[in-house]
Amino acid sequence: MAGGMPRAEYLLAYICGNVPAPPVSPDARLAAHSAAAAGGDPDGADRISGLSDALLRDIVSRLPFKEAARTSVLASRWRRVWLAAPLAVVDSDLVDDCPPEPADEADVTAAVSGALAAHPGPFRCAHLTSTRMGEHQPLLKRWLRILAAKGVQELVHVNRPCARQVVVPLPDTLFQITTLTSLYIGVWRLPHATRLKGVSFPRLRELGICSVLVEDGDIDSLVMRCPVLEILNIQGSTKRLHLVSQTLRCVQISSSVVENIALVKTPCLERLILWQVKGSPFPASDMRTRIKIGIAPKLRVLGYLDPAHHLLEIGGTRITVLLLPPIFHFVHLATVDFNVIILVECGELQAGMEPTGSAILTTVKVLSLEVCLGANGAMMVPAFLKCFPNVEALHIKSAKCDEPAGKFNIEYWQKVGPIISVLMRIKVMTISEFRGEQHELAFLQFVYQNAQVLESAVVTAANRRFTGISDEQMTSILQQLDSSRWASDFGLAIMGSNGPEGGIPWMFQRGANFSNDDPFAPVKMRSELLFFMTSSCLCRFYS
Amino acid sequence: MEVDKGKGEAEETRKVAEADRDTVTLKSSDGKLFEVSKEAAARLSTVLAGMIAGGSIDDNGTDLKQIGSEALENVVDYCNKHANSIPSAALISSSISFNTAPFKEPEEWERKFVDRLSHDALFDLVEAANFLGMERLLDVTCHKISEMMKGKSPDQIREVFNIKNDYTKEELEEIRQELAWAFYDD
Repeated sequence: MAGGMPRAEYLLAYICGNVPAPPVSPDARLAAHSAAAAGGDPDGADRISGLSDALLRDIVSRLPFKEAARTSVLASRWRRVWLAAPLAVVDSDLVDDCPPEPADEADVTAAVSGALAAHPGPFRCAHLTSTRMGEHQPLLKRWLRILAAKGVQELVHVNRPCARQVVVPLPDTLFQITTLTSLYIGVWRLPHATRLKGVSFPRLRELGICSVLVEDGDIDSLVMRCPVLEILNIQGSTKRLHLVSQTLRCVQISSSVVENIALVKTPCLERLILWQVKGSPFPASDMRTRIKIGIAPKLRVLGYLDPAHHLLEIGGTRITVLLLPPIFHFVHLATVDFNVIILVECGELQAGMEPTGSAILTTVKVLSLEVCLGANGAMMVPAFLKCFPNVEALHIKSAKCDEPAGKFNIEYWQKVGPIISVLMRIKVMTISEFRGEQHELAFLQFVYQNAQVLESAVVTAANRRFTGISDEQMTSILQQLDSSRWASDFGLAIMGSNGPEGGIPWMFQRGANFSNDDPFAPVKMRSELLFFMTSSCLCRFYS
Repeated sequence: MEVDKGKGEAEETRKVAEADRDTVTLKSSDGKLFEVSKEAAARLSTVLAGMIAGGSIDDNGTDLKQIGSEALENVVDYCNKHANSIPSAALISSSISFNTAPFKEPEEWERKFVDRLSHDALFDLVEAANFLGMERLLDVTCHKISEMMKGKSPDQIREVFNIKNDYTKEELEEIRQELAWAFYDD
């Protein structure tokens, strides 16, 4: 948090974008405009007072909380209505900008305090993201006490970061809010797990921990105290994560340095989504995140696995690439023209070894990899794919190669040998951050040439502002692919990107939306949309 | 045996034909008849669903004495449009509504549907939706009313809805003092 204001505010904006959207949207200007059309009739009857209290409460609940409170002065009945309407305190509703300008801060803080004190509850939700709580620690305790006493259900509480701020400890009063169904905390220090004794969140379904300083093992302990937790989202670093939960369905970790992630016993886990997860904050370090998949029999969606930064371990078998110094030359490596082999640690040392038995996860249907296809990480791609033989949708995020090695050409991929998922299962294949490099084209040609049941493919070009490649050039680069050898007649869409270099940061809402069975897909693959994309004619549409 | 079997089949056919009628007829307080998709009516209105399931639908028009013809026409129109509308979750899955969020944003066509209503017609529709237990339509209409209140001062709101202020001057001042935090920018 020592990076100065712009950085701190950037972090806040990122966190605010990553927490659940508040239920009330303050589109007041827009509303005022449309309401003018349905304006009042000066001689008309008072129709709104003819509605029941329940309906009036419903209407008042939809207003930003300050406006909701102001309806109290309309008439005496409206005061009772407001007091009985479930309150949603969303502090960013009070100002045009989130985060607010420093000049508005005191008003925002006063309004939150006022609303929490004046309303008897229940509080449907509180989204508090605008106050630098480090400067208001007594207030912080009071707010949490009130929220606990009045039974808030959804709480988003982000401490607004300061430039020269020490980390603000979150009072353990937080642990007394047992009514929570959804909790997102940001930019705090978590109270130590010893303070958790006897605590539980019996209704908590969704937990988000963003840029929170935690002691090793504290998130694990917290998870164990949430008997119905389904979604766990973590942004920011934690040393290790050893998950045991009977109910977790989705775990997402974003922008994080983690040494060790273990799904120890997660019988209901469907999704493990990692975004920019590394083993060390230093780019030069070869410390990788160990991802250990233990008991996770329902794991269906997995990614973005990153061979350069992750070590994968499935059922006790480590899938790894061993970079051997040139002096090692095994006789039986004769067929491999480089000094790298796939090593299965518990098994025998064999070149091109197939992972078998416990090292295979048959449940994974949607897999994403972040990989530089022109560097040695590309060699892990076949090994990773072989671990997940039932993958139906493969999404590659192409990482930029500074010095691509020329060897990753189509001949290289032809020597990889058959990969069951590619040959027989993959229906959807996408590549994003595509730069039109030869090694990317070689990999695409390999997949298109072998995937017998491929139905749709998407190539999303990296933002042309960074690549300098125009749409037309990109299309002609892709036309170099030899479509006469493709294995199936699939739809191919070429898209562009307006996002930052390296792709748009992952948003938790995307991965936690269970109604979308493939959160990595850039577009919904719907057969009726594919009629205009055929492999014989390259079509473009830009997002 | 043969005869019995034939009779059974005929009865079966009649039942199927009855169940197959895919519309129901509703009658407004002023005696006008409206046809509405049975599937949409049952899906969108708990009251109509109950009547259809309980067999209390009258083929000559089910009496809805509390609902005027204009409001009923809007209800029926809404049901039929809903039956034909394509869910908007089409291309990019960017808008996600959380399970816990109690309100769903109206779809574009739903906004337009309520935007064209007169003040009275809007309130007639809220009352009809409430009477028929149409949760989604209540959502859309209540959303519209809340939008009519947004960004307005209490005086402006009273004016739009013709709400009579029954407070004394002193009472009003007292509440404004209590809720000073909500009025700081007045």
